[in-house]
Amino acid sequence: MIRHSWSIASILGQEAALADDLLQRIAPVIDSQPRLEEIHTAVTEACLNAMEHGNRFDARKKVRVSLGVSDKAIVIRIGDEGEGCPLGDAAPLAADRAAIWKLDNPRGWGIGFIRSFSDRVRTGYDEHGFYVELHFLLPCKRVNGGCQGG
Amino acid sequence: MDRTFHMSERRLPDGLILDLKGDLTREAEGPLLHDDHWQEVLMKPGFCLVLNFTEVSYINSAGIACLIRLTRAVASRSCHTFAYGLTPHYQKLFRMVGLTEHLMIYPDEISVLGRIEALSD
Repeated sequence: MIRHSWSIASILGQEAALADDLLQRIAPVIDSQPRLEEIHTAVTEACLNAMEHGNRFDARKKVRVSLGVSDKAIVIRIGDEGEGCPLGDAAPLAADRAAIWKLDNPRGWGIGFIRSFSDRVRTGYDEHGFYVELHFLLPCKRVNGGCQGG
Repeated sequence: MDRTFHMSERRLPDGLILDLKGDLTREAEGPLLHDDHWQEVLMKPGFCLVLNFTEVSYINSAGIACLIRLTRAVASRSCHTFAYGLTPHYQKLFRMVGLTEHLMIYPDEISVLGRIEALSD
């Protein structure tokens, strides 16, 4: 069982260093570099949303990240100090694409990346505030003709 | 490790190469979008802008938004945008957001220059 937690200030750039560290910790259970990079992108984008929309880039406010790895899944919870904004049933990235391209500042890709690369996304509130929880299923391991994990 | 975004230019007979270095995030907006020099160079229809990503290891959604604005501006002048040095992961992100409809990705500089030469013939 792998467990770890981080707390970073709402300062741009902190999310990349955190995700780099997180990837090193989960690398032993994921032998696919493309999948690791997808998780990196999902985590950094969730942290950026927490900094911007949750904490309004107030450097005094923290983004909390916790990691839990079981034999079935990697679960990463990203929390902020804001009011929270459930992601809802956002449309797939391709459906949003044309609309975003028409914007003067064509932003809004982060949620699409998070949804595309996570197997499950949950939102909720814990004792600290709002969180987004990303689930990444682990492939099942064949043991004695059966399936472990996944 | 310094991850600050930097950019340098190399002139081509029919365009410009931008050598990008560091993290491509919101911080890249100033150099990428408000640099008058490449805008002057790309006044001639058919000119090419080449983005070298070899030394870029992190691109986030805000950086992608900058690239969309850049490629849109280049396309509006009837110029072309090319890219090389992208990892497979970022090539995938570019496809997901539709950037590859406006920016042609090549494996290396030699391939891009060959394509530009063919376009100018």
